[in-house]
Amino acid sequence: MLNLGYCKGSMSTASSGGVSDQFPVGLRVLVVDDDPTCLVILEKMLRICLYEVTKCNRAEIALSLLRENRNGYDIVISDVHMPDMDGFKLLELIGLEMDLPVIMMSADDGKNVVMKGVTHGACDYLIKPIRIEALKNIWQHVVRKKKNEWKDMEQSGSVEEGGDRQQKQSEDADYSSSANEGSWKNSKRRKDEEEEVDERDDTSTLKKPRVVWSVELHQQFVAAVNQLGIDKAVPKKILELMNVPGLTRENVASHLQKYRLYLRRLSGVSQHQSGMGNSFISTQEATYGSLSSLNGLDLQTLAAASQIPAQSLATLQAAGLGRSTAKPRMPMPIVDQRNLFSFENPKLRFGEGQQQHLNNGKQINLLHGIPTTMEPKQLANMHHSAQSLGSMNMQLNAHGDQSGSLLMQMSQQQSRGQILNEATSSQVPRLPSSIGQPIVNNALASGVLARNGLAESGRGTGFNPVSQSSSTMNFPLNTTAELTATSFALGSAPGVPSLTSKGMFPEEISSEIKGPGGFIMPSYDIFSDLQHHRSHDWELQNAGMTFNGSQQSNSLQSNVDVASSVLAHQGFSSSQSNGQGRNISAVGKPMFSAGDATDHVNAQSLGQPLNNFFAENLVRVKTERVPDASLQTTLFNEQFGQEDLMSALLKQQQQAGIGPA
Amino acid sequence: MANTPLHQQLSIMKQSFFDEGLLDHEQVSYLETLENEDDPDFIENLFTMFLRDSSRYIDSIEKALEATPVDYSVMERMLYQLKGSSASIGASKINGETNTLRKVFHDGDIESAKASLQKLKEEHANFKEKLVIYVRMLKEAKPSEY
Repeated sequence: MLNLGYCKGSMSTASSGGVSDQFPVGLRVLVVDDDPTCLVILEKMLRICLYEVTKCNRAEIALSLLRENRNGYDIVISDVHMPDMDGFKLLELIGLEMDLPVIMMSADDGKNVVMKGVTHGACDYLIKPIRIEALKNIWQHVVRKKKNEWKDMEQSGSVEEGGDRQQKQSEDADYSSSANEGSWKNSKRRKDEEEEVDERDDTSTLKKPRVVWSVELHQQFVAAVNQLGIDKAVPKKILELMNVPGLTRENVASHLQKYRLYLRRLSGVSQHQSGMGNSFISTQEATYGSLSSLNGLDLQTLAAASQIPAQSLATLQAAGLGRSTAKPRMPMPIVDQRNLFSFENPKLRFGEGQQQHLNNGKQINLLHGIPTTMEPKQLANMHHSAQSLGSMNMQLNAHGDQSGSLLMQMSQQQSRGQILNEATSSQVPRLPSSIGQPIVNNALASGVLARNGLAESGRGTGFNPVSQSSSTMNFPLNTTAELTATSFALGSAPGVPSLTSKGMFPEEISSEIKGPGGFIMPSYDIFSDLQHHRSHDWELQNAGMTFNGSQQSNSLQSNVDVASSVLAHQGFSSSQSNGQGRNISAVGKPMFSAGDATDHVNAQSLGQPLNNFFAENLVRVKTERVPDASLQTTLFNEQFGQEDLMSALLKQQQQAGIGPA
Repeated sequence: MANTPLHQQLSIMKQSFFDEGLLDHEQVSYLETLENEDDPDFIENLFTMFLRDSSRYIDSIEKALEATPVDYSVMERMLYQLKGSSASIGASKINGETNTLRKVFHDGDIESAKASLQKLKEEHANFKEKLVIYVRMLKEAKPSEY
């Protein structure tokens, strides 16, 4: 009866996506839980409900089952704490790749973790022990999702009819309504706008052609998004760029929605760790609507484009600068908007606060929210090409875990730590380039962090930055070593790179560190070459770590920032030398050594990988970055008086032989 | 409805589990409603699995706690695994001790966590000893029922 380690599903039910007369009888449920006892009980209860049950005790297996047969399941129920992959990561990946409703469950009933479920897009969260009553109505999530998607489709479906006005409408709706998971805010906001569209809802139809977002497709998508710039990435244009016959704007729109959420989560997740004020996510969402003119254009653009709460951006920036929230100071000038990813990230600074995280996450998500199962070699490709950023994300994710929720991961159990591995499993820090960007730090950090955490794809134990150390850093100290190998940088980096090649502002970084893995960024990118930079990595890690830890968050912060900028330079060069996302991996490591955090320098190195990441991808980043970085570091120095950090970083660079390009 | 001495013994033993707070009456009764003639070994299998997995979880927790530095990720995961599975089968004392350990651990006091772990191990050993007997009796009682 038990199918441990073996999942089989019988897709005998018809009506994939449709509603049969006997609905919900025959609802195809995929249950993922590595505890055999719970798995058996759940299966039993679901069978009593007359659902079709497929058991799985490994997230990886669940993902492959889903990928092989995307239309073979109606809903997924997954545990939160799993060894090979964090449940939230799986949640995000499924949301991005298959767009199926996912219910989370756990014996963990902490508010934070339940909130995490919300922000990551779970349609429900069940506390163990679970009773059959809780399962009887899960079909409502399937129906609801289809309804929303249908609505979405209808809205944009008018394109064929040549409805320009509809386009506008649907685009609006697309942004907000397509992704059911976690975007309650959007839906709510959009409700008013979509009123007329709503009326067209036809819940009874529930038929909606599903697009299978394969790895290639997702890659194309990300490339298109990056090319357009996150703020300009509207479904119509993305569709045009992608030029995929048969793909509709609705498809793109809903995918974009998810992608954005994914990125946002990545940045936000990092903040949420060990129960630390996980307000980040909520904050983000909460502030979503209140766009303040933080850094002015960037934020707004970003917010608008990626639906990132302007506030969070502002906060991040503010935080970065002077730890003052909502003070748009030092906008990350370095932002390389030009980058493919042009994430507004630059604005996001690590800033204290969760908000920043969120922002970062958003950014990052954009980049690497792409949960594609990219092969390692893909990652390699990404690494080099400008587009690689996007692909990197994909790759990273692809690695196995699509660190969709890198951030989450980070905060989650570290055991996953493979995020990086994922991406790098084949190559080890692939993303470094992206991670190298200090600015991105916010984003990267979150992304990176997420990556680390998320990368649990069981590849290797890359680094579980997220190791939930109850202490400040969520990253598991032990796992730092692992990070190096993981593609940490990659996955998350994508989002980050856009931020800014520069390092993040110290403030931002520190705050990030506090949170869950967000900070991690620096660690992994920086060391594009794990081997080479190993020492560097560690240092950075410590730096980062200490941030969380506490006490010197201040100094850490500055360190981080400096590090980031420095790293950026370095990262850039390192990545170049390595040509691999190594930086990323390296970055990962440092970040997580929560316990060790004491070395400021480390923080810096972290930033590097980020830069590298970006640098690599953006190509031009290199030259541009460097100057920026120095600028930033200068700023930092002024603010934090971290001259030593800078020099330390620079020294590292030289030693590493990376020398800014 | 068999009422052999074996069954009577089973009843008594089960009741003592409830009385001693080792098993939660409500949860176990609930699980029994899920069992049916198509799957008569349901409860027995659950208990067997729990015995095996809970030992594994506790070992992992111990290792994680003894490690330097403490392996937080493993701890978290194992704590929740144990909490989830013990709650699911109604092993209340184990669930309670796991909860205590979780709280202490989250407070950051490793030494107290270790002490709490010892208590958990004791409870677990006690529970296991009794449950093993119970499961054996369940097995023996089965054939005669059919």
